[in-house]
Amino acid sequence: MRLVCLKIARKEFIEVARDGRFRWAFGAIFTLLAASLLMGWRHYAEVNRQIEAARAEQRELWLNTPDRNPHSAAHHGLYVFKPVMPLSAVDNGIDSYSGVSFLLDAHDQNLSQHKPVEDTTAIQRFSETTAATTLQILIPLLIVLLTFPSFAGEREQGTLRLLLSLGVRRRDLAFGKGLGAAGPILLLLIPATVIGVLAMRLATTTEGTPRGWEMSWARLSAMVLGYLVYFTIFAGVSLMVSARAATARMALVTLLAFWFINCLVAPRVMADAARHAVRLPATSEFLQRIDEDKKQVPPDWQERITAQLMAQYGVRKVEDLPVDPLGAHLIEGDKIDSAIYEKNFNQLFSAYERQERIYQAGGAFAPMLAMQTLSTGLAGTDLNQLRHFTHAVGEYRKQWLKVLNEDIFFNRRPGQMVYTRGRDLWEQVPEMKYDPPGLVWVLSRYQLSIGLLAGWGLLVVIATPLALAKVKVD
Amino acid sequence: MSDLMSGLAKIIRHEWRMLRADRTAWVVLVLFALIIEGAIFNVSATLREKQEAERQAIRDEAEKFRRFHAEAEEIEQQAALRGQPPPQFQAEAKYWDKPGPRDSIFVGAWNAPRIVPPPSPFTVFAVGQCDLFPSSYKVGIDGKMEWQSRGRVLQRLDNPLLLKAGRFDLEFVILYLYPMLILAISFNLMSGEKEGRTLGLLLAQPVSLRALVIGKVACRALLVFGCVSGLSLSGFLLSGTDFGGGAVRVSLWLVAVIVYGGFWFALAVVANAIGRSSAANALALAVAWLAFLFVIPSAISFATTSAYSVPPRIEYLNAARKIEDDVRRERKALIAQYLKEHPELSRWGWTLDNLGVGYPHVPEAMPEKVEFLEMIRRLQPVIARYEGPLAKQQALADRCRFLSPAVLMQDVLYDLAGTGRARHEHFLRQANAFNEEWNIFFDVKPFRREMVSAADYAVFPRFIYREESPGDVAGRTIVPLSALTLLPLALGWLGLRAYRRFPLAG
Repeated sequence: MRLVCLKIARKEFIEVARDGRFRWAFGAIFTLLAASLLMGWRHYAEVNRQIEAARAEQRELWLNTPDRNPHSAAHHGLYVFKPVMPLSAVDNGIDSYSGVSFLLDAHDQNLSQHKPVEDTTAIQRFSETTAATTLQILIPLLIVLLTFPSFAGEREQGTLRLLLSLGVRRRDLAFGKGLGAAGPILLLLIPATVIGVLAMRLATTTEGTPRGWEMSWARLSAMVLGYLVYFTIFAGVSLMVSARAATARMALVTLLAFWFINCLVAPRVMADAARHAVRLPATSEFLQRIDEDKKQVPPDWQERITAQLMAQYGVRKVEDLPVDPLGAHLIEGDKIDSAIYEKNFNQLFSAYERQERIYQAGGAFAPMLAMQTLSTGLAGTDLNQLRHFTHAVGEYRKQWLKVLNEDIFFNRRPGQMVYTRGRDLWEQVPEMKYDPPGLVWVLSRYQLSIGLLAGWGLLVVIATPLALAKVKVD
Repeated sequence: MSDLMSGLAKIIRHEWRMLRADRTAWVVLVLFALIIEGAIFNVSATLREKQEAERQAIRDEAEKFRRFHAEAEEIEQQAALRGQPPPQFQAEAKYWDKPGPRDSIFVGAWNAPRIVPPPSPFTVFAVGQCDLFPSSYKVGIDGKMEWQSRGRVLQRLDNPLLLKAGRFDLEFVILYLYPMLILAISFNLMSGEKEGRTLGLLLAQPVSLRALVIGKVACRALLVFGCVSGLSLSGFLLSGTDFGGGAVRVSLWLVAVIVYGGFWFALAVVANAIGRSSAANALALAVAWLAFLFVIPSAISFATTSAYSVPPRIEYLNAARKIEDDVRRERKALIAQYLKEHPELSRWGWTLDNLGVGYPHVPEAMPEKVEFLEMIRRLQPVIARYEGPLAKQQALADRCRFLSPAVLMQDVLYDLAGTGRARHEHFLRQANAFNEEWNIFFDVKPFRREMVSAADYAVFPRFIYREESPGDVAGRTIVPLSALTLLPLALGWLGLRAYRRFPLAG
């Protein structure tokens, strides 16, 4: 690196360090970032503890279910809870807006229930204090405020001509200015990252962290890389605008407008565009569709199963069957119901994904949308991983019902009025095991976001030197 | 006085000519007009869908009960034709004996109505929290509707990612963009004149500095308030929003928009009074915008949730499940106690042996009722652990809201729009009262060994939502609206006082 670049960077850095306003801004943003990371860690550790405790308690409750008919126990139900990943401390994504629990029930499959946001006051609609909001909204603002006068300010003061007359190359000047802006930002981010990583290490080494849910260095590295690209985009755009704008004021106005559209307008506009483009069914309509599908099942399916069983065992009367046809009806009925729910849930989640793709596509003009979706994916707090978990819950429900229904099929006598089971049967139901998807799986879901971020990054890397080469001197 | 007024009129006319000549200001205003209309049309389209969905839900429920009514009449007519009384209550009936529209459990419990919270016709002011509340509640015997379990509370299917992103609605335009517009046209109110070296010339005219400030602000305020009010009202009309006689709410909304805008104008007056450059004013006002719209609301939110954290619902689920199991184990003792407390039951022939007959007979619903009553009683302290902190959070947020005009404005907008927690709780109170009425009507029937007659269908409790009265809404908004009115007045007064020391040169 040329010495002159470093000198320019040093001069820029000293200027920022000496400016009281920026010292305040840095202090405020650093405090906010560190506080939100620590809060995120505390929240993660607390939620993780609660979920683990609730999971263990739910298992105990299931095992202590009073003696009852296995089908009645299935109707009594069982709750499972979605675990949280350590990086949710950085980006809680959709966690507040999606349910935390899933009720397993006979005949009916349920989506997640109990959104934490329902138990909040209206003020939380302004914005949540998370590390992700600071990284996605406030740091870009700081970059804008740091870099807008880079060229425009020097030009207004007449020092740009002076600098160039000393033989400083435009490219070196641009690189030095960029480096000078990056220095303070890194000074902010490096300690914050260290605090965050230490906090997360601490949180995930606590007792009770489920297998596969420990701190993922691969996900963290990808997240850090993503944010670095995001900040580079802002720094590049700011330098370009500063180089081309007639005055520092015009540069500031243009950049603030870009920041405002990127961070505040685009998420809302793209969310509404996605809502209008892909219409979701109302809850009642969704349930009606499921009912319609259930009505498509031939009405005599139970009689046919009974007849098949009688033929198979060569008996003439149901009472003579060595197995219970009711159990067979339940086994087959739950298979039919599960398939219907799977189809409808898939349709719903596919609609969500189509909406999400439209939202991600907004990253073409607002890079925050690309960064935001990628960040939630890496934090494990996104729609795709909610779908992954919902599917796993569906599979576990089948396993759970199989144990209960097969017990009726093999052990209850046909027509037996009172048939109850207890703990020995409840213990045969295994606990739900869930492994979160790996990094490659996550990245494959965010190809559009990654592509758009990379595109922006590439555009900035190519266009910034070109724009700076033509920097206006007067 | 008349001199002052004519002086002000002259300044306003002069400012108007200056603004008319500024093409950038017009571009900004046209953009703003498009944004307002876009936000109104965007939400009104969604509102119409929601209203239609609610009407459809009401139609479906009515149709279901009309069908049951016709079937019940048919059964009774057939019996009359045979010269027999209609079928009587069968205590020993099994629940798979296909109960019909004359069985109270079938009608009152299995087919109990689902109540949809009616969308507020004023949603166009602010979507608020209405997209976060459940889409419907089913009438049931398990206590308060909002705490019902087992899928009775139907969640909305909205995409959580989009819910988090929020809506491009009039609330967003008014809370965030509108102050920006005001600051954009007034950050250099006096500093611009000073930097353009025209201030001295202006003051050489028979006009005071304060009259000049007031005139400049008045011209801009008239323009902005006129545009926002006119555009919004025309947007409401063009989008076909039916306020159904909501003149009070619309008027209060206009007042709120004007006083909220007044605060930002007053802030610009204060920033200009300090006498720094236009660039410094712009930066200071941008920081104020950021503080009032991000930093302070986030700090309030953090303070409220940290001071009174609401436990996650997973704890409630486990507690409810545990109580359910305990109560089930104690069923016999509970029924014995219930029989003791309700001696009338023995008059109708119920004893511990036949009332607790249990599965699979239809009277299972009766011991279940006894169990649920006990469950509700035992759940009260658990529910209080949730409702208590949330109420305290709200109380703390209410006290802190005076720190930011944006938070005050949000409160006013949600109340006027009817999309906040207050109206939802108003709905829940009515729904819970209906729930109780419904349960009283049906629950007593099996205990009395009665069936639902066709005539009963005419006297079923019906849920009719009564909208909040404009007086109630106005009463709730009076405090934040008064604070919003006082803020610009106090700030403007301070700003005008500061012009005494305004440096005219340098």
